[in-house]
Amino acid sequence: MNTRQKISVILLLLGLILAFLPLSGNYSFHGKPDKLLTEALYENTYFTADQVARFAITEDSTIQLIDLRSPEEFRSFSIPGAINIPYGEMLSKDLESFLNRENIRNIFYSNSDYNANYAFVIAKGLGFENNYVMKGGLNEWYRVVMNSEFSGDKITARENAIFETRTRARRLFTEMNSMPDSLKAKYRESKEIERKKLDGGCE
Amino acid sequence: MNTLEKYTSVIAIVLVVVILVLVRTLVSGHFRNDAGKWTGPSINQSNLITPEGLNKLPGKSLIVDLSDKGNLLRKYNGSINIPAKSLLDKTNQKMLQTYKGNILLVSEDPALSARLWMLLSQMGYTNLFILSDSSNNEVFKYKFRPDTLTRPEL
Amino acid sequence: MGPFTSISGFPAWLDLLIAFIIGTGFGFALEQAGFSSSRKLVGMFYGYDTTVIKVFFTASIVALVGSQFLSYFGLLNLNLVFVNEYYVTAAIVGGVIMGAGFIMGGFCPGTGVSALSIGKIDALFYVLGGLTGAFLFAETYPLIQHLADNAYRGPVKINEVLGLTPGLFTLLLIAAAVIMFWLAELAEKKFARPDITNQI
Repeated sequence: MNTRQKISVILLLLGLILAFLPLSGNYSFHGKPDKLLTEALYENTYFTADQVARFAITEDSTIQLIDLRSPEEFRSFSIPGAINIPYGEMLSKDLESFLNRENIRNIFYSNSDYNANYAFVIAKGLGFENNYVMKGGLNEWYRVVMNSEFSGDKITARENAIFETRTRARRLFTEMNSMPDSLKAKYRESKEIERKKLDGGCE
Repeated sequence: MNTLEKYTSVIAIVLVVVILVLVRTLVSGHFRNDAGKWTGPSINQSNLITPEGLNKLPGKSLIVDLSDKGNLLRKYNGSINIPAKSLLDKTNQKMLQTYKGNILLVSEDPALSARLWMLLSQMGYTNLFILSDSSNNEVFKYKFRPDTLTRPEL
Repeated sequence: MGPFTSISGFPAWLDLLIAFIIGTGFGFALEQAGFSSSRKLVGMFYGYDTTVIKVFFTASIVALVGSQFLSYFGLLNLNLVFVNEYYVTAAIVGGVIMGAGFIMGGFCPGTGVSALSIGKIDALFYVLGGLTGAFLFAETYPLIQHLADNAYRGPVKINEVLGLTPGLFTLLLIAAAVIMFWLAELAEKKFARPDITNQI
């Protein structure tokens, strides 16, 4: 009886302390700021538009492109294979199923560098790994993949490879985004992620 | 005396927890709760300030150059250089936390400013901005022209 | 080790070993609370033995308090802790089936395994029945998919629905638990069955 009373009192008092703490049920950053700073400054967290073009044309299944723009912008055009998480709604979604998938690298992109990098820091700060950013965003993609020309007579083998990638990516981008909306919706549905269904343990 | 003895273990445990909680609350330099609260200015872009808009900010402002060698110090009057990797050093943090005004981050790489803005905001900094030239906002600069004659090879 | 970030970067086999040790602790706790006895378990429904609710609720509130404090001190990353997804119809139907099975069989899945480990034959058939049921569910899933996926609410938490902070919710839950334990003691006196309780 005595031990039970003591334990009840301890638990009640601890609960009272908890009631006054500024805990939040929402997502909160976790860990030491120093560690997050190191990760944010790490050079290898960026992919160039050329690298992303290569992933897009080979339909690399270990890569997941995440488009942070609004749904309207996403519907009008996007990089083939990307899913849409509008930046403003990022923290109100269940991020576990999008960001915490084994062996899949997430590449954030938006129109420029801002939203993608905010999202990167958020994902890292919440504890998710395997996140990257496409440097320069869609503005850079357009400048480099869609609009660039190669000049000069002789090009090296490496430049040739890049040229090939860009041409194929340009074609893929135009074709996929020129489809009528109904076909686009079908294509996107077939690429939808299935929610991770883990069965919670019951005793 | 007897009642007090009975409850020593209870009081001891609760007291330890209270002390730990107080220590944690009063020490600064860790992330705040509820990430969504601190990301607000980034969603409506109110944390981006152009050099022209700088004059319209109320109160005094401090421009922080995040580059390693202070390349941008000449460009902005009165700016100071804090290399990004020493942003969380105790002396720098103390200075930034006690500064009463607006703090503007600037760097040659907008990605770096964006990342550090988010990191510092989550530590509780309000009145934190990014100094950017207007060419870098979240606006798509081109026009996509769909080609309705192509049929994808499915 | 999962959401514990201060001790992370373990090799995968160490994670599994830790899981094994925790499971051993759980089985040990069940057995020493006497949950291998179906009379003790079913006593919860008839009222003469309320150990089940006391043990499980105590475990819940200790875990709740512990995890929230650890999260506050930055040791546990609550963002990564799995929250079960809520399908309303499936939860209700499954609950009814499980409740009926519990009274009829005298075990629930975890205690059935712990009873099996001490050699009870009825527990063996109970566990086999459970496995058969799970197998049938998986095989007939296309037929019952509509029922199973109905009314999906996502991984909701109670304190979100009620609009309370997690800390306040914990306090209310602890208070409710203490009241429930006190009522349980009263019930035990009222529904006492000395003939059964002597044999547990």
